[in-house]
Parts: sequence; C-alpha cells; structure tokens
Amino acid sequence: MEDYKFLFKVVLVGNAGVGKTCLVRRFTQGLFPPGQGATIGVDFMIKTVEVDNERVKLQIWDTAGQERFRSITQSYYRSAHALILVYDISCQPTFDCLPDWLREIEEYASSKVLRILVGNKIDREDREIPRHVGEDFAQQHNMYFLETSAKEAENVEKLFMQIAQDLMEQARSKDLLRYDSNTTRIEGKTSSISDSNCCSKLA
Amino acid sequence: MDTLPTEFDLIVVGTGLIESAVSAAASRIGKRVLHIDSKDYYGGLWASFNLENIETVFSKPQSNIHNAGSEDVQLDANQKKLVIGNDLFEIIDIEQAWHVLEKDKDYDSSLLKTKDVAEAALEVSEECNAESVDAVTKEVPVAVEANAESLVDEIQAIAVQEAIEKNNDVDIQEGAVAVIEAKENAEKETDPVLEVKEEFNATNDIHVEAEEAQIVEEEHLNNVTSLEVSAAAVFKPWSQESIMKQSRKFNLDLTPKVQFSRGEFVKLLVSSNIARYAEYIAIGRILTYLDGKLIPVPCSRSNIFSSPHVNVIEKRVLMKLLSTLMDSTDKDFSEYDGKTFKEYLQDRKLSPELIHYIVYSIALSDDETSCSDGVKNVKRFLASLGIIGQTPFIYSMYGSGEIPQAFCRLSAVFGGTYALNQPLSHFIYDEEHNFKGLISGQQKITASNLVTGFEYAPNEMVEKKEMSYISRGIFITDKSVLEADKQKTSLILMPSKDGKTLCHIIEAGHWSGVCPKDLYIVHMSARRTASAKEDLKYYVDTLFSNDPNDTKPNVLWSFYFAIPDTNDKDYTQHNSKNSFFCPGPDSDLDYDNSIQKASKIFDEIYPDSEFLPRAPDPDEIIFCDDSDEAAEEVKEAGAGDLPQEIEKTEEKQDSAEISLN
Repeated sequence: MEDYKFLFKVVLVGNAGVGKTCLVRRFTQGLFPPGQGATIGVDFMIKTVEVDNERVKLQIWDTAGQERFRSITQSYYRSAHALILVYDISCQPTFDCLPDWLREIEEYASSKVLRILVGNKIDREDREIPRHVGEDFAQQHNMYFLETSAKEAENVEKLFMQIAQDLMEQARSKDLLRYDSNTTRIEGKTSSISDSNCCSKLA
Repeated sequence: MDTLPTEFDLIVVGTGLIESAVSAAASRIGKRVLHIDSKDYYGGLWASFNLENIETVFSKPQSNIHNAGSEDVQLDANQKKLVIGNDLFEIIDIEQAWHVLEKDKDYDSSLLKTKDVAEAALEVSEECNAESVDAVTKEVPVAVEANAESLVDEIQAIAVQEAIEKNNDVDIQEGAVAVIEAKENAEKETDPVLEVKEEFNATNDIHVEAEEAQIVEEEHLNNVTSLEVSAAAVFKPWSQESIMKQSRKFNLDLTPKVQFSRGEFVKLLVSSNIARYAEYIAIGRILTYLDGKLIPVPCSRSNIFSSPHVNVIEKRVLMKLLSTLMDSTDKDFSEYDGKTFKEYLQDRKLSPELIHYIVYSIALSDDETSCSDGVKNVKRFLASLGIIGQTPFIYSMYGSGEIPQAFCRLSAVFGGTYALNQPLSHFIYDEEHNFKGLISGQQKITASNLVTGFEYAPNEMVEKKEMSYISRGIFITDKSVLEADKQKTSLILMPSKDGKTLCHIIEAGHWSGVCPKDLYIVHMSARRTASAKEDLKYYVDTLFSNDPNDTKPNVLWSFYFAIPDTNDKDYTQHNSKNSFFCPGPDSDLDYDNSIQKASKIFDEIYPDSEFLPRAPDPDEIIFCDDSDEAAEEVKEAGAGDLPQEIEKTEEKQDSAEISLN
C-alpha cells in the first residue's frame, strides 16, 4: 500500500475551454499542454503532497468533456471532498453559467463539499470579469475564491495546497464526510468461504 | 453552446444500461461515438430520481421527440425519414399516492406528549453518563454533563449536547436526528476497520460500505441502540411537507437491481476498471416469509451454523446438500429432466422449511423452476458468497441509476460525445434499410451504425405483439420490515401465495444514499399479471400496516407502475444490418443477462474487438504532447483522433484480478 495518510477526491467543473485540464496538468505534471483538445483516456490525475508533515493524496477528476453539452453524470459529483468551479476571466459567458453549475452542484454533491471558485487565465490581456466581481460571487455563495493562470503557473500550486490543507483540517476535526470512511474495497473483506477464487477476464 | 459534430462511427440513442455499455465499449476501442438522449437525465428506464422528479417523470411528455425544424433538413434522393419512437412501448398502471397528511401542522399536537418527550430526553442524558447541566429544550429541561470516560462517551456526550442545544431553536425532530448523527460519528470513531479506510483508493476497486465488517464493541452497540430508541420516541409523525423538504436525498430506482459479488457483471466492472466510478454497499441479509413471519435466510456457512431457525440435523443436511450441488455436473440430474427443482429437493427428503429456503432464496426460484435452472442458480449464488458480507449480493450506493452512468463516464473518458436533452425527431434510412443518420433539431448527424434503446425504435421497425410487463412498486416507509441491531440493506425474496412466482423486494435506508435518515425505501418487482397494484397487493398487505402502533412499517408514500419487458420476445422487425435495438430492463435480480446482450450487440458491430478491455490507470498514462510519433502509436492502438496519451498497459495487465482475490 502506498504511503499516505489521507486521500481526497477533488472534482473540477465549469464550461468547456476554461482551462480545467490545464490546471490539473500544471499542478500534477508542472506543464502547460499546448493546443489542448479534449482529453482522451484520462479520468483523474493523482498527486501526493505534504501538509504538516503528513502525506496527502489528491485524486483530481476532470469532466471528460461531458460539460460540452451540459451532460455531466451525477455520479461524477458523488463522494467529492472538494469541488473547483472554474471560469475564464476573459470570457463573460463562462462566468454567466456559474449559477447553472451551482444548481447542479447543490443537487448532486454533498452539502459538506468544500467549494472553490477559480477565475482562470489571468495571464490574458483581454479580461472581461474584474477580480472583485468574481470575489463577490464567491462570497455570496460561500465559496473560496482564487484567480489563477495555468499557463504562467500562478496560484495553481496554492489552489491545490490550500484544498489539501483545508480538507486535512476537516478530517482532523472529525468532520470527515460520511462516505470516505465508510467505503472499502472488495478484497478487504474476502474471506475463505468461497472456493472459487479467480476472477477471469472477459475475452 | 456548441452545435453537435455531424459525423460519427456510432450513434447511441438512449442512456439505459445496455446502450451505455455498448457506447463505452465502442469508445474504448477508439470509435467516434455520439451518445445522445432526448431526456435530460441519464439512465432512461434504468435511472433513479429524487422524490420531486419521480412524480413528474411519467406525467410530462415522455421525451422531447418532436418535429420542429426537421423539415429543413435535406436528405439524399434515396433516403427516407422514420419518426423516432413507437406505440408499443408504454409505461402503464402509474399510480402515486401519499399516505400521510400534507403539513406538519395538520397533526394534532397532542400526539407529541410532553411526558414522553421528557422521558426520552432523560434516557438520552442517562446514556452518556450525564449528571447535571441546564440545557433547556423547547419543551423540557434536560440535564447533561459529559462525564466522559472513553473516547466514545466523550463523542456521544458532545454530540448529544449539540443535539440538545439545537433543540433550543429548532424542533424536536431535528434534535433527534442529531442524536442519531452523533451515534454514527461515535460509531465511526471506534471502528478500527473504518479507520483504515481513509486510504480509500478508487483505482481498480469496488467500494463497499463497511456495514458487514464493522467490529463494534458490544457495550458500545448497546449504548447506540438505546440512544436510537429514545431518539425515535420524540419523533413527530412524518408529513408530506417534511418528506418533500428532503426530496433531494431520495434516489428512487425505476429498475432496482442487485449484483452478484462475483457475477459476470461485477467481474466485468472490475476487469474494465469501470468499478472505480461507482460505490457499493453489501446486501446485509436475505429475508424470506415463512409461517407468517419474516426470517433471515441462512445462506453463508456461518449463517447456517448460527441460525436459530434451523436445527442441528437440518444444518448438516443443508450444508451437505449445498456442497453436493456445488460439485455437481449436469449429468447428475439427468433423471430430473422435465421436473422441477422443488421436486428434486422433495425427493431428498428435506424438511419443508429447508425446501423453502433453498427454492425461494438460494435458488432464486419458484415452484415451477426446472431442476437444471434451480441447480444453476444455486451454483451462481454460492460462487458469490463469502466475498462481501453475509450474502452474495451488493447494491450500488445512491441507487441503481448510478450504474449506467458509470459506463457513460468511461465512454466520455475515451472520447465519446455526450448530449442529453436533445430534440430527436427522425432516423434516416436508405432504400436498402441501411441506417444513415438521425435528425436532432435542425441538424443531420450521420454514422455508420445505430444502437438505440427499444423505446426509440420507429413504428415501422417493431412488430406489434402482446407486450409483457414488470409490475413495480416503490414505497417510502417509516421503519424496517424486520428491525435488527444493525442497519442492513435487505433483499426479501417472497414467493406468491401459490408459489408460482417470486417477488423481488429490496429494502434500503439512508446509509445506502437512497433516502433521508429514519426513512426506508422498499422496491418491489414482480411479473405483471393483473395490474401493478393488484399484483403487489399480497406483499404490501403482508409486509406493511396502516396502524402506527403496529410493529410493521407504515407506508408513507407509494408509487406503482409497470414497465414493458422487451427481453423475452423479439419485438423488432427490420432488415437493417447496421441498426441494433437494445431491450429495456428484464425481470432478473441482477445485470448479468443485460450485460451479455450489450456484449452481443458490440460483437455484431465490431466482431474483432474486445468488449471493454481494461482501461489504464492514471499512473500508466504517459503524456507525449510534443511527439508526433507517440500520437501515431495511439492512433494505431485505436484511441481516436485526438491522441495525446499513450497507454502503458503491458505490465499491469494482471492487476485487475488482484482486487478480487
């Protein structure tokens, strides 16, 4: 078993093209992918960080393109510990959609989920949404707020480290979400009653 | 929003289980898939709904299939349009009813006797070694001082105090809920098994609620139980208002299913890595109805030995029979060709009770099931025993509606395009019955193949014959059909009065993510003979009661309907070689047959490809953004035309198996 004390599921949502995948890859791989199309074969990325001398594993889930036609599966939101809602500071429509996203979050995510609003692409000159507008929105909806640039690596590390820190504090104060401590893997309970013990792969 | 791309390898219409599995399999091998649904939710007939939505799902027009704009779509000379949807497919017998008053205030306040409340609160305080502090609730002063000796006590005391503080400004019911929450937290803290699970790792594994693995000290358990009892004593009766307030906490399945822990379906979920998209809880017990009461069926070895319902001789007979059946081959039963499984058991001189357990529970059969089918079912049952908890079954957390979505997620991860809530109007065919595309709004979208849920099949392509139906009932109740010291998700297998059919009943509570605390969801499914309500009447009358003082649960809300079972007969009638219609839900307890159908459809379209091979884990993916060569390799591997990643799967081929061993 890998050596880490906590594992948290972090999910990203927001309109297509706001830079969700870039944020994840900047954080997990330290690079800014050029000419990003849709992402194939990638579900979630993992990065283990250290907070207060404890190893914390972040499992960061991307939308797999289902946001393009507003068709994200509800199950995507289940069991998330933190939820990052991203818009593009140079694209008003991505900000205007935030209430729709919030509605979806309210409906399917746990009420205890840590919510963070992120205005991405601050490296761009053609800003349309002033910082304080984003800040106000976040405050109104009881979310953390941060502006980032995945391209220039600005605030990306800070964003995820803050999440790790917060979730760990939550976990320490025994306020862990119900499901993460209640779920386990199949093999943890395998007992010897059954005599068939091989799982064959389907050809 | 973007407009949809217009060219695909495969269009999948409808997001039911079979459709979603084919979609995932096609995307997985690099096909360009459009997965589209006219509904604004995932799952079609396999979906789960919250309480508010389920009431409207059948009352509004069943989809937004319509014609608007389709006239503008230009077709080739030899092409024709067929309207999507058919008259054969219809949900019937819909009947929804509340069995509680509308508003909280409609209840006579005298129902809540102050005396009871005081007693209950006192009990609560005693339970956590409380001595004296003045915390005033709305109706009674309660004394609490946390004289905590152990961690458990401390947590409980704090939580109870919180609960009581809450009572200062909120109503008693919420306070009571808080007590239960406190109990749960306390339970969590002391459970060594649960502690370990912080490292819950989604990769490769199936998650199962630790229901069965909980090792709770007896003393603690007793504590908890009495806390719960006293909390229950201060409950107000439920009202429509108080239930509807929590509408979002319900996940009500149209098609409730359990899964064999080591059945074909679960094996596929694990081997394909789709298991990471869902969580599971164990079915904690199987109940049957015998001699006027519900009895836990002894099915695992330890169950059999500890069951008070089977005597020592029966225990040995049962164990011996089960091993015989497990090791048997078809030849051993040749003399029972044409005879029933029940007859076989009767010839073994088993007691009627044992025959009852074996036929209706372990063999999932009825009086008319053939001997060979019965034996097959017993083997299947036993093969999944001992994997998770006390029964062979698991149920998906948050309801069965999560399962099709897990396949959709995999399809999307591998490039599938997803669009719900689309204005679908026509399929386009040429003169040789070849599917050419479909019309959505004013868009014409083409593809080489069509896979669609049966409900979307055009009238011209279905055969009008008598439809069979599955009668369904969903009930919200106020307690479990059989109270136990530990909360368990239950499967109740109840033969009809004449033994000719078996009704599948699933009871789940808040721990499975399907309803709020202190309520239960009961799903009933049976073959339709008269109407949904009539077919289920015997089971409803047996399990539930209208009398609030009865030990049986009261039904607070009921919802009946019947859905077509398009599995047993072939209703399709067409010569189109590139159109495939997926049947809807079947009457089975599990998904094994349905996933086989998906696999068969996939094989017909892509005969040379593997159905849902293992998807790589995140750490196996190497990103090669700048390398054209790498991109080429992925193309060859069939990962579609947006390649940026390479799979490094060779050395990990076997890791999927590990998780089941």
